[in-house]
Amino acid sequence: MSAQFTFPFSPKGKSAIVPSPPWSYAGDALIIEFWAKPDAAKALLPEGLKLDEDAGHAQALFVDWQFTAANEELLDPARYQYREFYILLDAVYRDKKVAFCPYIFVDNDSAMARGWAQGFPKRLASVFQTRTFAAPSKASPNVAFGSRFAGSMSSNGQRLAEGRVLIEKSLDDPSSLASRPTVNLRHFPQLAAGKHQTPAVHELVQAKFSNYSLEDAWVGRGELELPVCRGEELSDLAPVRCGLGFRASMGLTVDDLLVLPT
Amino acid sequence: MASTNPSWESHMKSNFFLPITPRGLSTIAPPPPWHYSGDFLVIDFWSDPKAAAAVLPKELRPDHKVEGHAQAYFVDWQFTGESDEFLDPARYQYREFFILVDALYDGKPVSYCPYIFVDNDSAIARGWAQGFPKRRGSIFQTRTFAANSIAAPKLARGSRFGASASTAGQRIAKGIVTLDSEVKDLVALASRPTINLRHYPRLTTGDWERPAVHELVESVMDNFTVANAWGGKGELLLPECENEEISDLAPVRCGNGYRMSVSYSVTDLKTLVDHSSK
Repeated sequence: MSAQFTFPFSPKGKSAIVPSPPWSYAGDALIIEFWAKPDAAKALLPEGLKLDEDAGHAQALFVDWQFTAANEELLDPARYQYREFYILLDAVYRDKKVAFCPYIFVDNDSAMARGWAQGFPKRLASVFQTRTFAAPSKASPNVAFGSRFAGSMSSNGQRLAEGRVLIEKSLDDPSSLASRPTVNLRHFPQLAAGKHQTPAVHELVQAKFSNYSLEDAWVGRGELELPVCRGEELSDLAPVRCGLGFRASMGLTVDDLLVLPT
Repeated sequence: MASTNPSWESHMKSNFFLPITPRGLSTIAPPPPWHYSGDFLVIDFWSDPKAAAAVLPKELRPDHKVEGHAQAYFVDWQFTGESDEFLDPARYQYREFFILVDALYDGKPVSYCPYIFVDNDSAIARGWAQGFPKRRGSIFQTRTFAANSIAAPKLARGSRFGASASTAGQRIAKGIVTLDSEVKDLVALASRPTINLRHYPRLTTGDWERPAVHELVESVMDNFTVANAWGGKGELLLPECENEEISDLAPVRCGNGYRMSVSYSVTDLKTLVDHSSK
């Protein structure tokens, strides 16, 4: 059996939950700026990260993703398309401004496995967002002044997040949307008795995206709710206030990451 | 809504898995011990011995005495940790389909899990920690109920139980068990130790084939209990599907089928060989 990136290790590698990198992504994103209580944001930061000056500033992202690796995975939408909701918290790593991902939910197992390899703490959920289509219809907002887009995320039958974006103008320079590198915590436990609190892997990493592209970016107002749910802590980050809202198309490739010394 | 029932949030859980949060409530799975109860449909079958040998990791050898013997399992599971997780069925109940292939490790009869599918993310995460190569699927099986109805087979001679598994829209497995008689001697059901491959990759360029974790492990199950075991005939189909290799193990012939209730707990595993790249 030849070397494979991950399991299941079937003889030809076709049954693997994830094909080998490089991994390429295209998606439509709704991004909502908000401020959580600084103490709640701080409580989620791992060792090595501290709060930034604008304490509690964060982004919520809903993304409708298409994925492919080297074998036309984009032609197998049932297995590889997915939708995602996540939070990025402003933080500082050794004087560098970064964004840390404490929560992320997807509706696809291959995305979950790739996420774990990157250090994104992915769980499964149902995630939806309003889309736009070329043919004019009341059912499809145009990417134009005054259009509204919404997203929601539920996990195990509880609605954990709802967001809305009202777009007002095109963003000529969308680079500010993704100015901070994303920092994750790669973590894999040990199950052997006596080692449950000694993970096999526990490392702070910085995501590396290549071929990064943002198109059709629009800005306006964002609104986000993170309702209180039983057995969930996401609502600890519930917005004290919300700020800008964005809608943009994104493209990127992942084939690497950077391990950060702590 | 937040519950006023103190059992839901009364204690902080330590963080065994991701996401790592202040109170440990949002974790994908609580820390061990993990307790399981489930109804099993088990089907004995024989694959082409070459196909069975091809799914084994290098430390395992085909068990030539059994000529490609394997078992297919469909399980309807209820799970709990130490915080009444069994009262949150949406988050913790799940259904599972897996294959165990007979093999030899160091001359000892064992079984190896090449394919396993579940319908719940907490079960996926716990499986990955144990070395089960779990993907997500839709799994169903016929159940039995106390009230009489044509819609519920009894645990009785001639009753039939069906099961199926699909993933990403393709039907990968279908099974039927026809009951014949109660199994009194539970020793006959004792399975071989289950061997898994715990694996966690590295994504750093150049390190894709140097996994951070890659260890052959033996599953440790405590308080393993079998009840209401019935045996009879098993039938299994593993249809060919696009970009799936499980059908390489398609039965050359099928053998016994079983239905039983099973429970056990997990707090440990045994590492046999550690190939993790340091």
